[in-house]
Amino acid sequence: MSPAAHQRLFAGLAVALIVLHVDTWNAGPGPLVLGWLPWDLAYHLAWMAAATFLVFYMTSGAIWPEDPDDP
Amino acid sequence: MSSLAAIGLVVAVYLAVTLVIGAVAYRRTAGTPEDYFLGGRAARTFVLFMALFGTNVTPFVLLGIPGLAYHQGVAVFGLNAAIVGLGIPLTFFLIGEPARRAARRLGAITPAELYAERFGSPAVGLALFAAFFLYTLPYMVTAVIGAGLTAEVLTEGNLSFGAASALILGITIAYTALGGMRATMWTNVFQGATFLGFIVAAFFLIADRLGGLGAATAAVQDRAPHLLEKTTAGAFAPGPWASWALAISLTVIAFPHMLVRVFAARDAAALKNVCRLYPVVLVVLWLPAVLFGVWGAAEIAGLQGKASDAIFPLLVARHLGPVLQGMALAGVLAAVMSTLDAQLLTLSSMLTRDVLRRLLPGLAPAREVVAARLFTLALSAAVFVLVLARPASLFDIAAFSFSGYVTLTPTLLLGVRWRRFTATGAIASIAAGNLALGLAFAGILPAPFGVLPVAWGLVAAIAGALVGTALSRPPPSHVVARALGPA
Repeated sequence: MSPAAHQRLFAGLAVALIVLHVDTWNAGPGPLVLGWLPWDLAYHLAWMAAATFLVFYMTSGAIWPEDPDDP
Repeated sequence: MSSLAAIGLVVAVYLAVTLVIGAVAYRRTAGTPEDYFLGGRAARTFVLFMALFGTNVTPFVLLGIPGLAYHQGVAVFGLNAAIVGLGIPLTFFLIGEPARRAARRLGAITPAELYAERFGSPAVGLALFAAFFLYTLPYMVTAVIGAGLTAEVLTEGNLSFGAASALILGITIAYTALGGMRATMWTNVFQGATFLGFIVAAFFLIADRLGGLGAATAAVQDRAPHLLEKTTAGAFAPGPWASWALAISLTVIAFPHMLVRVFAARDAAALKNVCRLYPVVLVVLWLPAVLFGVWGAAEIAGLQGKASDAIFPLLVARHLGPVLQGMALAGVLAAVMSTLDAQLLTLSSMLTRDVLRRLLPGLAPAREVVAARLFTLALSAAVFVLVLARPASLFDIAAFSFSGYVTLTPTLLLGVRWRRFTATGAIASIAAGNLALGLAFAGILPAPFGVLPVAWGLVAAIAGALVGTALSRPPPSHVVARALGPA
């Protein structure tokens, strides 16, 4: 895949994730995950796990090249 | 030993270690501006991360977030923490990295210096200097006020508000003025470890005292079940939610004390690693902070309004011994000092590089460092006077400032990502963004879908940048190439 294609894929995934952050569908009561974690909190922790994977993709050479001037 | 003496001893050890680290850094600091202000641009992953994270985290996370969760429940995590796990690394990539490269290429030390050189326009540098300075000063004052009040509460009034504020400022001045960036970064490692270590320990210890994670949540289900649900009312409606997410994602890179720390990175690899660590450590800090507030609502009911900001210290006082109460106070002091030192150093570097050097072009490099130390002292004195005066408008100004930084992000982004972007566009962007923000705060501009004033400020700043650039001639290519490299 070309660098431009990687950047388009990254931008698309970032927009999708940002849309999923506005989670109006989670309003109201929900189950407890693992017996203690409220559903909305579990949802946003899962969202942050996805964001972490996306940040790892962003920091790969395909999206963010090294600086040849660095020491 | 009385519990008060134990608290005092723990805090004294924290302050002594901070001073020793500052003294060691001072002995390693050369007398050049680049070394004093940026630590020689040599910060590697761990120090860079702790410096950025420590600067980013304020007592608001330890006190204000549990206080909000006490009233509003677990949705506070989604509203305030989740989005920045993606937003802050994204701004480090889009703005921080190209700005770091340009600053290294030009030898620029302050953000205003970098952008003045990028546009070949002292006016852009002056506009950014004014905005950064006016937005940052109220922040410093409100942070010291918060820490001073907390110290007074946790020592049961034995350490007065004024004495606590003087102590915080005095210690921070000592290591910041002497050791510069290296001292602030090294102490940030210790300070970050202090508040992160304490909050993780407190999370498991308090959960254990409440009968375990399941029992703690069950108590909330019995007494305040609404706190375990997400609502879509007020700040949690889609309009305010989305505009707040936008604000907290964009504002951090526009803090001059954060951007300068990005300049101090040794290389792109260090900054990339910081991005990878950010969302993970955010969870470690924010998940306990939110749950303290929710658990506290079941455990200590009846706190009204801002009184709930004391819920974390109250839980600590009820369930943990005096040594850990001392750690709680040290954690709050660490959170305020790790931000305050960066702000003091950055504002003193701006006064030295962006103002004094323009007035005295022949200023010797060694004199710059002396001047910066004197500016640090003068700024601290001004902050202390404002802390004691506590003008009522100060917190309103700080609230405006938070959104005000966001209006600078189009200039910061386009300046390093768009070669056609002109000085006219930058000044139009800053002016239009702040004008619209002021009108929105005053209620003159409407709030469709409940969006916050910051949305108006950002839209106007983007429009100002585009219109100003369209109406002006492209900048000379050799000026742009000097900052951004060949096209």
